[in-house]
Amino acid sequence: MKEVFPRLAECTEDERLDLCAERMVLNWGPSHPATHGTLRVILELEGETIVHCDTEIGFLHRGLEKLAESWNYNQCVNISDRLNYCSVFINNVGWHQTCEKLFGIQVPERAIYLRMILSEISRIADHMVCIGPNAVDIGALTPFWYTWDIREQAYDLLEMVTGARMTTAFTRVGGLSADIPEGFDAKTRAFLPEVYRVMDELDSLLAKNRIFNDRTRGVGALSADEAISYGWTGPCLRACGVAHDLRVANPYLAYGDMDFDIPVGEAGDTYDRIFVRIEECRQSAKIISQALDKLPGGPVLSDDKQVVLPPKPAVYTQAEALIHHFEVVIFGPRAPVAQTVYEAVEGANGELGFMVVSDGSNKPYRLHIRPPCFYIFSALPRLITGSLLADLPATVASLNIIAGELDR
Amino acid sequence: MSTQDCSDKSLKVAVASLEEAASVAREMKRPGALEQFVNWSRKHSLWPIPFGTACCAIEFMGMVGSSLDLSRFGAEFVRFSPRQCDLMIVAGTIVNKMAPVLRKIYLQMAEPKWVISMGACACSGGMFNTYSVLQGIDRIIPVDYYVPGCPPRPEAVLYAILELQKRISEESSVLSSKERHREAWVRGLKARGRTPKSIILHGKGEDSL
Amino acid sequence: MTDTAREAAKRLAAKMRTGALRMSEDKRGVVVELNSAGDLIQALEFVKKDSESPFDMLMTISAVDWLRWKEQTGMPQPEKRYSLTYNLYSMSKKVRLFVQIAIMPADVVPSAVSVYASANWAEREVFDMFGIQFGGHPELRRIYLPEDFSGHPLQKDFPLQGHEPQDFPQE
Repeated sequence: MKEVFPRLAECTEDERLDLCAERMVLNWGPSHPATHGTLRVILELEGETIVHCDTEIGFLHRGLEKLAESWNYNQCVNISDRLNYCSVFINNVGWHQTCEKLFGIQVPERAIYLRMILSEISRIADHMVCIGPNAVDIGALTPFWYTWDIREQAYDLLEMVTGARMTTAFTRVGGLSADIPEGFDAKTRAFLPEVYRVMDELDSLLAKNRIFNDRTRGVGALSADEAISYGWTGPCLRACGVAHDLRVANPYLAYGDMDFDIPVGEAGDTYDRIFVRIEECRQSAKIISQALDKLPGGPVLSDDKQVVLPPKPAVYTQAEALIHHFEVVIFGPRAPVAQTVYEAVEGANGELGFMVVSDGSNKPYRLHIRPPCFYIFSALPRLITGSLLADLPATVASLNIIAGELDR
Repeated sequence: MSTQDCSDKSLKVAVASLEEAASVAREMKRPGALEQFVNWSRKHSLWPIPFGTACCAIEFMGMVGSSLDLSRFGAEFVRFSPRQCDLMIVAGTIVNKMAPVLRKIYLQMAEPKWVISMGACACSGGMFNTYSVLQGIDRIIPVDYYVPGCPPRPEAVLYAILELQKRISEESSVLSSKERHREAWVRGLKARGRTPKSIILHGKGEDSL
Repeated sequence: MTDTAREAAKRLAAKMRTGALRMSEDKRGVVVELNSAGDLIQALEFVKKDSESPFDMLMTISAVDWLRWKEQTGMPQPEKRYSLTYNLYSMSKKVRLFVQIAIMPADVVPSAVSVYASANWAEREVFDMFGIQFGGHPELRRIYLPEDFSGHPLQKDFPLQGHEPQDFPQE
């Protein structure tokens, strides 16, 4: 914590001459280059020091939870797309994993591994979107181009499989909507050395850079206990020194079979948050290569008749399959009545949880999304009060606040 | 000034100001040399202000990034100050809470200014027909180009910017955006065989832009 | 996993007054339903300081409006209109515990801000979306919607497209 100015009455004459007599209220956002989405921070400044801070969010509140009550379970994946729109596939997986728990369906092995591979590719893309603009806000313009290069390659891979760069909506209740095309394996394996190369480039550009260190070390630091109390999860919590990752703590998909490390920081400051993300990208690349080696064959969609579309040859030849196809397309899968589930995945920012209450119809009765950014951003006043104004963009960018998730 | 046959490409008319040049050009139905020069310099230095709120902002950044590189078309600086920009790209959902902010930023931009509405949410509210989402930014500001998509590919937005550049080179340079939109509206009505009785840009019945 | 949570719930039941809570399990895990909202803070404090598996993180507070439950499912309507679920997580044992209370719209729920700092914004969100009041919250005001918005959107009788037509001042 930086020193705050002493009270006026206790100053000496000389100190009083140096003190700023008037505090200034500065509005930061919602339209601002460094807000990364639409946030508003109202600052009370004494010179350059932030003495009080208040935040306002809701500038992207689209009513997603209310909208989910009008859409069926397969349509709601579009809502999950628009949550953390930088790592879209992880949200898709989280949503459909919750649905699968609700319906009590098993997903085939191949779909599990593919979901894992595509989630990790999305995670790399998200971390790149965080680090690039974060460096730009501090003034380092070069890393932006390197991170964007990797991001474009990740998007090429996602587009190859799902058809969309960003809003993939690729998972279905019971697996994936389609299998990977030929050439995906080779292209992904060619992508992985690029990831390691760019991470090394970022290290060489940023790790020992004097200005970067001065701007980020000790800035926006939070202790582990406070972080837990605020509900922090994900890379921000790991930077505070808590080795908690849902992929290891409560393994889902096939993460239990993968061998990877959890990068943990020490000081919980901006520097640690950035470098935890860089290291996580390396670990994600490791997971992808292991998963590609172990990728089993088989179908990518479960064959549970109540929930998934039947194969087309059956639809054209059997009446039962035709009726069943009609029901699934028009109504969507119907959940068992009066079930409440909560499932969480390790999103790029932390624990992304979905709570669903089902009422026996094809639409959720209530969907509640637990966004990681919401709790991370709530601690912002605690992080920057007492710091200088210039620390604010660096800190906010390192928290990776995605407004789609924050505001839903 | 006399009205000349517009097929005479070598016509030279002495004019005292840009406004006069514009009025001559309008009579002749094509921009004169001075206006062409002004249009050329404007279209090749469109500085965007990305009003990015949601997912489309990431695709906008993809357009600015190295694979598509918007700056080769003159949009070198993506500045966030409305005083320094002339093209506002609204990328992302605008909710009711953000709408006054958007309008204020638009009004703060200096003439000439253009608006590209990027993405389904900015064009029409997108898939979010809910209690908090503005169903299209054209309810509060005039839009020059709509780019559909959710999100549109960066190439699509680039296409919109190139189309905008073509349009800038063809239109008169002294009109403000208000007059430009009014003229476009009148042209559209006349093309449908109607006469403009009153110009209503937005459903409020008030022509305040 | 559920064993740890079950044990923690039993320890909680032992510490609270008799009949204060009901333990059950569903697809989420172990759910502790408190019969009275007044016991909430005490229960949260007990689980936070639990000897074996302290539940040190409040993941989220979810609220459900049961207004349309009977007409949509045919099942009996719950007595009280809202239920609030406190989703707790133990960092050391990696287990979840769900503490649930049922309340009426006019009830004032004691605020958990003194126990968990994450309750601050979680309660503001529940207030904004449902209109549930939290007593003792430092600043209970809207978080997502503008201050002058009338109504609470996630209540079941609030239409998806809202009540008021969109109207913007022309400056």
